[in-house]
Amino acid sequence: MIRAPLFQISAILFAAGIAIGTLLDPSPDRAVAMRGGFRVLEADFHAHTRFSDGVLSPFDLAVQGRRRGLDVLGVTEHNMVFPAKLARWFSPKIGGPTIVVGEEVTTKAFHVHAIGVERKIEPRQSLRAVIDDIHAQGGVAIAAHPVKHFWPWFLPVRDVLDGAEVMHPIAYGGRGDASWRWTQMRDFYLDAGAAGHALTAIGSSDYHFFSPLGITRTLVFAERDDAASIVDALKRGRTVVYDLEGNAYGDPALVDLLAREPYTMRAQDYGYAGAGALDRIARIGGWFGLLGLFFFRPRARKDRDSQPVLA
Amino acid sequence: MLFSALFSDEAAAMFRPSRTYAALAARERADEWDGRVLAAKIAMLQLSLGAFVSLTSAGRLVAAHVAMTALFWAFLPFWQVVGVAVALRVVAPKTPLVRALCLYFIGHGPWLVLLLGISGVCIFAPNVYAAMMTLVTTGALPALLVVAFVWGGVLTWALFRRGIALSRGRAAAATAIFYVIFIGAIASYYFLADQILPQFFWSPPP
Repeated sequence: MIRAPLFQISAILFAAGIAIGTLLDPSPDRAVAMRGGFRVLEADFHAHTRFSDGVLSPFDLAVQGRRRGLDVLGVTEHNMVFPAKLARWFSPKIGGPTIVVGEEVTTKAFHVHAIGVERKIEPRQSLRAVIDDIHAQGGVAIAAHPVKHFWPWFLPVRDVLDGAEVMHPIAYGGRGDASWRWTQMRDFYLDAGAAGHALTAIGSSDYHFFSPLGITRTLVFAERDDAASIVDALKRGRTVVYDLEGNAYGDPALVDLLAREPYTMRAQDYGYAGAGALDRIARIGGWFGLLGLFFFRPRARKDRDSQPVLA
Repeated sequence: MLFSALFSDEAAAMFRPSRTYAALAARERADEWDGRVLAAKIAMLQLSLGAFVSLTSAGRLVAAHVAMTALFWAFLPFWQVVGVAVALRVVAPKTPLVRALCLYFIGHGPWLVLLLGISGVCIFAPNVYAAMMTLVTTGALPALLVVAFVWGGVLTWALFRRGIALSRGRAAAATAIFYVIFIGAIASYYFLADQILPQFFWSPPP
């Protein structure tokens, strides 16, 4: 009978994987950058947690935001604000990003972000009433991924919207559905500007799970790095967003400013490349350790082992 | 003999549910299934979930993710415990609950293998995004989810039929009650938290 301590070896591999992984987990330096007298903040205003259709807890989300070098994270759960408040409580304790409490007010017809609110916005009402409620709480109303599918609801209220997502991960590929293309989001934003109502440009990751929190982000030009200043900057349209080809959207003066004084986004490892050989060895070892913990029989008690299940 | 000596009850149950649960039920040592064993099995499940979240979000095992995920996803084993307890209360009230729960938590193999597989893609695939998109767009990932769910259902039925030694009818009833409670509790949360009706069924006029 083979009695190699495979379970114990697996446990050691798993524990070592956690210890090394925790030590090597990056926490990028978020150096203060100033342009035109404003703090330049890297922000993602669209993230979900496990309280709706995401996977990470609000605490994990703050850790992920710190790992991704985000200065600002808008936690925007579908039709609730409680998880965002949890994240706001936790993030300062770990030196995480400034959390802006938000909600993705979600119906079958429209998704609109309420950024900078404290109480839940009721989704079962007209979009105009939703936007009025957001404004009544001092928040900003951002059209979430305004692809053609949502235009019948967004276009009539475009004049009271504060902003729109102009970059989103669907720019990387998306669903291929004719009414769900990134260029439609861009066109919604550009058409509003052409019609005389400049929307605040927002780039966000619509994060639910895996690695890409902040894969598309917004540069916010705020007076200070706090939620009130950030919401104020959104109200005043002080943002710049870049698409995958480097085209800039946002306040024209700020776009010009960044052309003269470029700002380089913090590089991120979205492809699980890791931080070197030890990192890779540790995570592979940890994965095999977890596999072994499940598959191999522990040698906990002699009498128990003497009664194999399928002998 | 080699299989059972080397591999865990969880692995054995995954591949031979009825036979394994029958063999486990035949063990007469009642003290083998105590509260500590149950706690260890639940902890192992939560640890696996935490490891999955950590590997897929951070790309490595990070203690904070493992611990916080275990905490924030604790509703899963909680409602599983409630589901098994209620099912047995209705169908076989004299069954020792802790022993039944220990046997139940042996049956998570299909889900653990799925989680390991997905996190393995993040660890080993040269292009994770392309690999994941392939899994999603070809329907492989949704199909695997269905397989894990059905396979898990088979294990739950085998638990009640062979592990608890219920008749076919009672085992089927217990399985049905368990899933109604477990899925019902989670669906109720999403319903009450406005995650279902407004999102999928409510639309104001443009």
